[in-house]
Amino acid sequence: MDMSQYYGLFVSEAREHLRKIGELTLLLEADPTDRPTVDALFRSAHSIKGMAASMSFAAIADLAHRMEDLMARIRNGLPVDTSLFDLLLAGADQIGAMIDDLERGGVGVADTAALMASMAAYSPLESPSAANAEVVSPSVASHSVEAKDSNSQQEPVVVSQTVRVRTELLDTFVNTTGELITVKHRLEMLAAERGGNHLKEALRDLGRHLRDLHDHVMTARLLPLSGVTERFPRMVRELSRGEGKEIAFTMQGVEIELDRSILDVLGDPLAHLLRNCVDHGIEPAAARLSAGKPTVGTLTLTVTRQKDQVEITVCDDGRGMDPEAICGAAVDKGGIDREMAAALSANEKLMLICHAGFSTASRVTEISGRGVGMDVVKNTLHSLGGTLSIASTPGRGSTFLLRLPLTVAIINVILVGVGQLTLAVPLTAVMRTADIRKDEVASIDGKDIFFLGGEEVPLVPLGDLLGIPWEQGRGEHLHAFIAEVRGERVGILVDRLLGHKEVFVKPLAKPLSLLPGINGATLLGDGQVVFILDILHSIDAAASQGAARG
Amino acid sequence: MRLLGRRFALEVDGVAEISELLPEYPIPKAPPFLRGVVNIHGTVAAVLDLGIYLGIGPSEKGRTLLLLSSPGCSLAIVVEQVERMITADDIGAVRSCSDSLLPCELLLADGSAALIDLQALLASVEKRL
Repeated sequence: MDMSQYYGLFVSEAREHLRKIGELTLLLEADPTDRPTVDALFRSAHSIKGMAASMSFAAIADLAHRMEDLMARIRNGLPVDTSLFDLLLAGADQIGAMIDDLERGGVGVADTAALMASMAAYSPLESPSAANAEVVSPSVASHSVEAKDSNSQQEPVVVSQTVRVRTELLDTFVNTTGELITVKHRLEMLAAERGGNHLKEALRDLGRHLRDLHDHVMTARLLPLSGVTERFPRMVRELSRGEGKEIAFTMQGVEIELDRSILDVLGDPLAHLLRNCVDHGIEPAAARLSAGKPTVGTLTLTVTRQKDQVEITVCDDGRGMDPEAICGAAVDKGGIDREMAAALSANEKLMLICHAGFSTASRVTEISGRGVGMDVVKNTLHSLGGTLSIASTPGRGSTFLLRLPLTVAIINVILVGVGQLTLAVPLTAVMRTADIRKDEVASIDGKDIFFLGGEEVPLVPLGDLLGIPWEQGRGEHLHAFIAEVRGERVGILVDRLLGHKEVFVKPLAKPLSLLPGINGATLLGDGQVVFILDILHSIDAAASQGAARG
Repeated sequence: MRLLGRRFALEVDGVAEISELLPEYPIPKAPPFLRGVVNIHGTVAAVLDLGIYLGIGPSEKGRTLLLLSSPGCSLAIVVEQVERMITADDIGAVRSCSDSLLPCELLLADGSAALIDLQALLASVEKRL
């Protein structure tokens, strides 16, 4: 029988079981007496064995068989100790590597003899001996709250009501829905020109159905954040072991769903934040003790949903960050001048850690040298239309708050005109629009400002930010939208405010995708191409150019 | 195809579509060789001024748009005229040149045409952004 058509299914299902084994092993470590977890581990190993055998991947089937045997012995009363968890995790890793090899076109075979022998020979130690302290040290009580709840009872067997759909197909649905919305805009323009109540009525119906379709298509693309976060308990466990720290890591709300395209790029930034907390945030036990804190550090990842936004909070109870020390380091490195630094608020000083190449760590560890920097964390969030904010109290800990939209493909924008250019600004970046009488504008140190609700708001012409000529408000009024940039309000002057619109964001291909300050484009009803502006990036770029010139 | 009094050739696989000129919209903060974007049946493509890019002057008299075909890339060039398709049989000889974007000159019965290396051109545009 030709099994090749089942190959893709095997890979994805085996990976799902491996993920489960990783998660369940950590649960078992937190509570070695938890019988349902032992059963679930047995079932996952058993499933991998069965699938691999039917596909004739004998090496994978053998190793899974050993894991299954091991779990059967535990089920029959063999006591559990730390080396068991290491064996199970090593087994899952090894099978994962063999599946990777299969995917690369290999045969999925590796030398697993030693690992299988260790599994067969497993017997719990009488007591954690000094010789094994390094391996045995139960330093991490890592578990996911939700995962524990869902595993506290036997998994019910239900006939699946779902089908697997290739992600490319989902992308096609979104694109087609977006194109339909663009066509609707075109029809609306034609209806406005030619009139006709029947046509307008039909268009209203079309609009309603399109909104429904859009909602359903977007819902189909939502995936729980746990797809990204499930590797974190194990990652934190291993990092904290390597650092000799004791950390209790918990996650909450990871069942909340986000668009697939956001999840795809969120893993690395979140992993980096957690690594930072383990590496630089949480102190070693001795230091914590002398600071009057419990020896076990606390690290949490909490996800909540606020309307159409998701908030992810990464919080540690470690040594915290000192805004003045960060600011001083930034000045020393030449990233900011002393005068500018003095004018920053405490939160703005903390945000300096997101400048490229910034690090206040007095030592470089294996962890901090890896992965992306805080600047990449911030930039990734901005490119998704999200924001990052940091709060910290020295001696008490740090909190990183990530705000993200649920979906990205269809967004609300305001359209603005400057010179010949029409641009779209995501509504999430705009606090309000304003028509400002010219006599309301004052000049301080050569910079224009106006007062909004008693607060001084600097005015920046968008034309200057983009380096294009603008009309500078020929009439009595200046038009502006107010954006919040790092907690400060800024009035961005434009020539025209053209109203609010729901638009379909077309991701850009190269070379347009390489241009800074642009986050995609959209098509208006008349076919006009309008770029979606990344206002924060534009302000930053203009500021750094100004600094370079200055 | 012709541009600024010179004749160029592109491999057929490198051209996705030939179109008359379409409305062009400006790109904020783009270098002068990217003269705008067009909407070709819903695809947003940057328009490269090949004349400026190759340093032989702006392609002001362009009348035809060629949408180039390369995965992950959406770029069009403007030319004055698309002459004809040629096959390997039409090429009398090939003279190699030192320019990495125009690696060789195809000698034809009625003159010659500089062959554009599409991948090298795209890579070079990306590098200059």
